[in-house]
Amino acid sequence: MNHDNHKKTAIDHALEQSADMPVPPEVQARLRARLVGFREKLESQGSKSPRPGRHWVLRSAVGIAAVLALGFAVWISLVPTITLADVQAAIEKRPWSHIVFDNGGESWTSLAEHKRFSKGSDGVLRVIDYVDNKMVSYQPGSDEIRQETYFHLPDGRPLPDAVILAPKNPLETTGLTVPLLSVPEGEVADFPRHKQISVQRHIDTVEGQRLFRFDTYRKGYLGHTYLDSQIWVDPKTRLPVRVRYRLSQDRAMPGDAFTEGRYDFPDTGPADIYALGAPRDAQIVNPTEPATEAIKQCLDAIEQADQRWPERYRVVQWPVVDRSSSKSLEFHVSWWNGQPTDRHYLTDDYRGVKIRSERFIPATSWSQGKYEGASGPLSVIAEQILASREEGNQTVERIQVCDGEKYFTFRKSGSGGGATGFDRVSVESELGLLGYSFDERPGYYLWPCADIRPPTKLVTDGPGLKPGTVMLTSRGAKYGGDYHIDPAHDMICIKRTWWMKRDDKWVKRREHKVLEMDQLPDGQWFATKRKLTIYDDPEEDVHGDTVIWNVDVKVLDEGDFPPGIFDGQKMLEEAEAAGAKIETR
Amino acid sequence: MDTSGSYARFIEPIEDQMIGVIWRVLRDPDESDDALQDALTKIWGKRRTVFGHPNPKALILRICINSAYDTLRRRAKHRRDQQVLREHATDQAGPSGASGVPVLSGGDVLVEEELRQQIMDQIADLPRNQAVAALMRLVDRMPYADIAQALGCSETTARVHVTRGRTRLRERLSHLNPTSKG
Repeated sequence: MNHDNHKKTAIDHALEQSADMPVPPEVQARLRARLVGFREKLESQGSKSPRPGRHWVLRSAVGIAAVLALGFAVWISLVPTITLADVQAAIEKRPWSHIVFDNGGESWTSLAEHKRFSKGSDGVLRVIDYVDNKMVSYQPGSDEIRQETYFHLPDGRPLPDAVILAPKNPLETTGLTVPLLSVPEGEVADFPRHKQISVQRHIDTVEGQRLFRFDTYRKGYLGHTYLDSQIWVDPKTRLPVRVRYRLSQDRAMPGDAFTEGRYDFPDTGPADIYALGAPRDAQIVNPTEPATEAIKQCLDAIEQADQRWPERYRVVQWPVVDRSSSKSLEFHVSWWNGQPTDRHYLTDDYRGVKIRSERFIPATSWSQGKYEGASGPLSVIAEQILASREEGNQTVERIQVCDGEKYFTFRKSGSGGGATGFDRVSVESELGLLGYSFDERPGYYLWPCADIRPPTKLVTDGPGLKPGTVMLTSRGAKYGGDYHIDPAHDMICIKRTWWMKRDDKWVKRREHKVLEMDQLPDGQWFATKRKLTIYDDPEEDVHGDTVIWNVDVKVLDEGDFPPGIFDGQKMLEEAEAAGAKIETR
Repeated sequence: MDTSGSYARFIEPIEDQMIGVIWRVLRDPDESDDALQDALTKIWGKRRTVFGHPNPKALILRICINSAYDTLRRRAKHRRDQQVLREHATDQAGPSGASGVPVLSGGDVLVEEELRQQIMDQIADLPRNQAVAALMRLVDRMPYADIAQALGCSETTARVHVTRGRTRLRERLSHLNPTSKG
């Protein structure tokens, strides 16, 4: 092979590899969200008339302006001005409001009966009775109808008033995402502080009909204003005819993704979930109640063990070196100051919890020279890793900081750059903490709550069960989980398996095992070596993977944290001054 | 212009291709997201031209590749700047400083990724028509006829752009000693 051919082969090979490279599913989802927004924008503009020629406009501009001004004045004088209070009063007189959304969703709300029926774009049916604080739901393909408590406060406390979440303001029946706005300040101290909102009124012509349009704006996390929803109102009936609102505050749905709904106001609504299409032979279950007293006791013991986990600590995690692997070597370190509380149906409550999480890649020279030959206690290796990071022998890829209120993510976009050059920063509310992964907090893998539904079966012996351990299992319509619990070691989950139903068969998706354990100074057991296996799933383009992590946990006091590590605002200002791109709602 | 059916007709059939070509050129989620957004902004601004084009799909892909190419150019410039800074820092601190190059633990993958990165850096340095034609052909395997329509030139000219781009790449990468897989 001559020299030229040698290079040609390698260059062509690299390009061919690029051409064959599949797009990772998370990137697919992110970019598709952009396309969805674009499609909506394109189609919403589709019916507009083409612009007339420039010369014609110039010649006629004055005339058109005069005609428009005159028409507008006449129209204003003929159509009475209305306010949102008028709209609320009009809705209040109607027994039911019904909306059909362009994404396939549908909802019926009764102010008088404090009930809401809905059919999601994913086909999930729900009936919420706000008076009894009960929800009945049905997932397509399931053989069960779930009947459960609609809303729990943190720590399982009962709602002070079951009706508090029901639409109080008639506008809430419009499907706008504002039901919590009606909660009086201080009435339930644990509710999030509501974002500031403002409303503007406009006159709009939709499909030849003159309508009032009310635009609702919210304040973003950095003080900027963004459009949250729009509602069009018929000036004659004073009832809404159309609504458009932002789909999600989530980063997974960036940009201007909106959904749109059309109204009518029928005299009657659906009688029950069967009227929405749930099969009458489906079994009714209450998934929030443990199936037996033994399961309840086991879950209580797990929860107590989780609550004993320290509030302030540092975790360093690094993979067991596998020279045969082509994966990049990545280290994780995180500091936690505070314990999140469980918030049923929403997410864990992180308000007041300060977190810093870093992911970095070691330099080759350092990893080959020191890391691969490192020996001794894990705590010593962890200190070496941190010292190396301080000395600049690592490339920091991402830092996430939660200062107790806001959640900052600092990223490098390109592959170059020094150890501190972040060029993208995003700022979000505490809800962004949903982005924290399974790995970030030991409690998540040591005492995983049943993520789909509480376990329905407790197995105390049998094949595959280690002596002295028990297994909790749960199976939903589509997902399931097995949890091997070790009562002799603080109820730690030593093995967890994620299942998914496909073609009526349960297949493994992931498995997590605790391989080795140690105790914190106060005797609390934790994993020092753990293994995560992801199984191949060609249908969802998931490639199998196995990583074994070493884990070092150090319990800290308030004064032990490095100064300023939770000061996301200061890092943001420094990054902004250095030209980083700032993203926020 | 009524654009209500345009998405379904022209964009929906090539959604995967749009996402794929941007990703394969940039291989970075954030940059790909930005590049797609830039491309959509351009398509929106010129929607009458785009949807009235004899081959709207090819033109849309060209806009996507153009957008990825612009990002590549910015990235290549950034890398060069960083290289200068690193060399300056190494001069001052001695040869033991961190390389700053991303580290992959598998030898072959390291070589291929570095090679791919260098190829992309060099593509970013080609004249726009050559770069876009090369990306369309080499990274997205588009037919020459489609490349020609997207660039607004003859098929022969499109072939010339691709060939010149490929030749320049080989010349510019002659200093490399890549690992052959062939």
